[in-house]
Amino acid sequence: MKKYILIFLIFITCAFLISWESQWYLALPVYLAIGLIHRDALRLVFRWKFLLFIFLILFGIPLFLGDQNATVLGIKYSYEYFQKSTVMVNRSLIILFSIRMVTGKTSPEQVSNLFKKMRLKNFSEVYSIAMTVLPDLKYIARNSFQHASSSPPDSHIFKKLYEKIVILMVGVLGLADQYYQNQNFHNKKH
Amino acid sequence: MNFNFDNNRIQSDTSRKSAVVSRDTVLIGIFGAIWGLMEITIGFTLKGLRIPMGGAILTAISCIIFLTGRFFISRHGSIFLMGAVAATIKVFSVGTVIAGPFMAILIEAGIAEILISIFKINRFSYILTSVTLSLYTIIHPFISQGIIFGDDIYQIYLETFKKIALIINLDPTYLIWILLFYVTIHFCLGFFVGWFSYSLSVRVSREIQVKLRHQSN
Repeated sequence: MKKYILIFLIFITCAFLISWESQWYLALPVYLAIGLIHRDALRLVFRWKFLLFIFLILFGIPLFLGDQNATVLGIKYSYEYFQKSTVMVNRSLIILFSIRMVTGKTSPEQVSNLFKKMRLKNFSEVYSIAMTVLPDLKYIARNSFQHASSSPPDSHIFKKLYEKIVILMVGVLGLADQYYQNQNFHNKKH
Repeated sequence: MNFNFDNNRIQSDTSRKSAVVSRDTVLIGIFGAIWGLMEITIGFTLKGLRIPMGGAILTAISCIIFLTGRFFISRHGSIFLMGAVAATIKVFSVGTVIAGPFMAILIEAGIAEILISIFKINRFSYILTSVTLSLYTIIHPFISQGIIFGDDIYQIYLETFKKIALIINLDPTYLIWILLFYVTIHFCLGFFVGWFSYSLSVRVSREIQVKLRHQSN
């Protein structure tokens, strides 16, 4: 993971250093490297929404903003904004591809380990509790909302919602206490 | 459901070491799980429906969850831990690491942790935290877009607004009014959420007291 974070930082530095003059010899090697390290990161370019977004930045902005001082195929556009748009597109592509590369090479378990390394006290304990109680939480949430629906029909919708939330929170705290008692009982037994 | 709380508030017993899981740890785990569940369900729904102010709504619900949780936990760093749990649950839900929401949850949790640690648990700190986070949702896209596209994006936004204002004959000074209106909405939402979270916490605490009294009788 460390290796990919280092590569990621190098690519991000390249993105921040990019300018109209330097973009091609900075951007192209980065695209090539990302393609070699994690080809899936480049799949973003096959999404039509993403392509439309890039198209709008690259061609929409120079046609719409700035002094229309250049012409291509009889269409006037702003050369200054075309330069800015190109740099913006290259910079954003490098950042997005780099993020996809590093996340594609990182598993959720490694993220969990990262928190542990950050010395977040009791993270592994807290996380395992969270995963254990998830099914119970879903059950409590469903029950709380069904229970509250039996409240007087003439009561205001916000009051009903408020009561539902109170029941949910009381249930959650009850679950916490039960879990705590069970753990203590289990520990004493052993 | 039986309650065995020692007091009207769940007591912190972080003094107990290693083998015994502390009550605070359990509460952090559970509230972190609720936050994570909410991020998966409501978060994806709001994103899918592209509801305006979706980020602010999601932040508001998160605030209610972690601020209520924090009321019953006396440990510093608990909101950040809840955020770490919620962020990891969100990561697991997709299968791969999604950087944007992951960072957003951690930033949110970090800001809330700092504010609650400084101002302690009271109605003012709850309102301040919610308002700050609600207002942060306005500037968050500008910060992230500034990082992704660079400084030029701000000039483009400003120029685009001027151009649109010229086309529809709108005075550019209206930008300030529009911005002010947007900020006011976010401020009101944050204020309401902070007020609501504190009231909810007090009410839940009272409900538990009532249940305890019933049990002891």
